[in-house]
Amino acid sequence: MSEVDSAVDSILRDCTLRDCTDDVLGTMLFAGIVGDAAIQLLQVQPLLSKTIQISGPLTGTFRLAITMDAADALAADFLGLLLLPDCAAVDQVMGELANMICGAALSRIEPDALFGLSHPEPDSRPIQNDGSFQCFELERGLLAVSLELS
Amino acid sequence: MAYRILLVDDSPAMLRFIERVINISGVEVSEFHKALNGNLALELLQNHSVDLILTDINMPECSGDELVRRLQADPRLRNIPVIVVSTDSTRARVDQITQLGAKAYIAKPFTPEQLGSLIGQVLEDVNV
Repeated sequence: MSEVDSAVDSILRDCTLRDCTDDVLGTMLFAGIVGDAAIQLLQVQPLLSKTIQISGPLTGTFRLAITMDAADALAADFLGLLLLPDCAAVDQVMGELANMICGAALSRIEPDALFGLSHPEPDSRPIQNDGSFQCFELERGLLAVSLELS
Repeated sequence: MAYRILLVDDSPAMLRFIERVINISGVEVSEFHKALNGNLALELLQNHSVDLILTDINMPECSGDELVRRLQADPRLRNIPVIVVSTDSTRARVDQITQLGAKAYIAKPFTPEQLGSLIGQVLEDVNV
């Protein structure tokens, strides 16, 4: 693949990841992306982070990292709760969010492929600008997603 | 007419969400049953009759694919329509699961209207 093709491919993946994140947030969690955010803002806050391993014709990793205030708010909306859900419930909902965004993105990037996705696992590594990395401001808090495929 | 629906997913959060979405969609439900994997779904079906099954694919112990396969192999259960609800909407996955016997497939994310419309369509096809 030429450098130009590679650059175009990278831009398309960035757009796909952004669109899928916005779509999942809006459709399933009744939330939306307010704007972009700098990774430095995310790096100084306690985060809930999930990683999914991707297998199939392309292999790689999807990662989601979210500030705790955003995670609590999204989980409450997803579960239809008036009070904040417990940590286990928030963790489960964020795993689902990671799954949905990852699945939606892969289905658009390679619509004819058969992928395997691992169960979302906690990831305590520092957040880095790897692969197709996007960092967003939500109504409450910050969300970052990244997708590395090869 | 009110329907009896079995929801199968290894995530209690997703089970709760899908139940809410179906209630919002306007589909009339008399009973919701829930199971955390295909094996538990099959056990439940020994004692309960349902009109429709909605299942995830990636589940431990017995996946959605395996559940559909085993439903099709059982003469008492093969006519219960199955809708697969999954994050994976690649053509290969949709073809694979419908060839196994699932009636329909819906990819996450979906709106209550989309799910309600699909459920209505599937149940209408069965009644016809």
